[in-house]
Amino acid sequence: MDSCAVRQRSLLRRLLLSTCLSVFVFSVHAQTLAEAPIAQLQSKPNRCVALHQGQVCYQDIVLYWHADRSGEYCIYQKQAQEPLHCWQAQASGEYRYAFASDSPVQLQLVSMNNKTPVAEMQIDVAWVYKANTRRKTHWRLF
Amino acid sequence: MPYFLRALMLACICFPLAAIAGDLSSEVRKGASGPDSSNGGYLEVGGGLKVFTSPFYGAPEGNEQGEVHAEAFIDISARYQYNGWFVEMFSQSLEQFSAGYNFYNGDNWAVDLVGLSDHDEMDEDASKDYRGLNRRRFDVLLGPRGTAYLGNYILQVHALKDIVSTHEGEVYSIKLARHWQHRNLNFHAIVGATYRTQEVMDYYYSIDADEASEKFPEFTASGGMSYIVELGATYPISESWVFRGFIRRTQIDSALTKSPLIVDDHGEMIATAISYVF
Repeated sequence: MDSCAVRQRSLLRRLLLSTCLSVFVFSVHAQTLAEAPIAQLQSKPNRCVALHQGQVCYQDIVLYWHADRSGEYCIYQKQAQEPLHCWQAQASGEYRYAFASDSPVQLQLVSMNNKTPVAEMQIDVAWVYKANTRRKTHWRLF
Repeated sequence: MPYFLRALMLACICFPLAAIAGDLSSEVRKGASGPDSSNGGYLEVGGGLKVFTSPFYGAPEGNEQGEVHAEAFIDISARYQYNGWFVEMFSQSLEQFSAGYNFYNGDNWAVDLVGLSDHDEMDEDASKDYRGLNRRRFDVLLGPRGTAYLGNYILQVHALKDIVSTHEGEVYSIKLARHWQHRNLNFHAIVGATYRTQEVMDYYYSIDADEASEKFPEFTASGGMSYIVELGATYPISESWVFRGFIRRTQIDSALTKSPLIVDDHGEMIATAISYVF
């Protein structure tokens, strides 16, 4: 009779322990999910047009973003060490970006609380005259 | 010295080594840095406005010294090339229309054989001001054209001879162009000199005894130089629309101003155009 009661108590303890563990794991996971904000990064305009392929294209671009919660956010040019601009305790922002590049540039909005990119976008570069001065498209009217 | 020997010497001096090149005015506006030997073409069509003074009597009709004219124009820039054969038309160019064959290509330069017309027809149909004068036909010139791309510079020379027995004259020209980029605006500059032999000048600007009158006294023109200077800018409004503008001054030989068919020793032009790039 005694050994049966001991076994039941032990089973109850294990059940309690595993329930506690599950609740803990779930709460940690839920917290991690909660720490990745949902954000959007956009620009106006989102492309730059130069005359000739190979030329550096210049464009004043307005970058704007918003997230579902306040925090510290920075906009980075992908793979760059230094941010273009950062905001403290903000859920949205706007930045005037002096774009100058001969190729497309990828930008990321990074949540600095957990160092995670939360949104990204690309600014394209286009040209009127493609490679080697002449358009490769064929005659269209004849 | 025969014409073709002189043309060959000019080509050898200016292009000691030898790419398919295009019209200098068109190339420099695009900021071209090298020739293109591929088959195919391009077409741009637009509209523009030009304001100008002309040194030529009768062009436009009723033209007087220093008179400022304003005209709308269709801006066309087109080129098609196949296996070396090409035709090109560029309304803002100094040559306007050329056709020819590319017979030698290098990395940064090219030699073409080109045919073009240097002078328009002068008769009563072209301008009432020419009433009473003998008809002067347009010419068709043929000869080598060399183009070199030297960084931001483009050098182009022509050595042309009349091939339709209009005047049997020759035209030699050398032009140097340069382009600069400031943000997305592309600036260009062209300086050039052209020598026309006595046959050319005599045919168009002399007044022969059989056509001389009180209005058009007898005159004999000799060969001479003319010079051009041009500054301009090209801006890509979008991938398909381009804005162009330029200011150009043409200076002609002062001795030629004694011709009744010349009213000034220079002409100027300011033009702007917006074109669609197909």
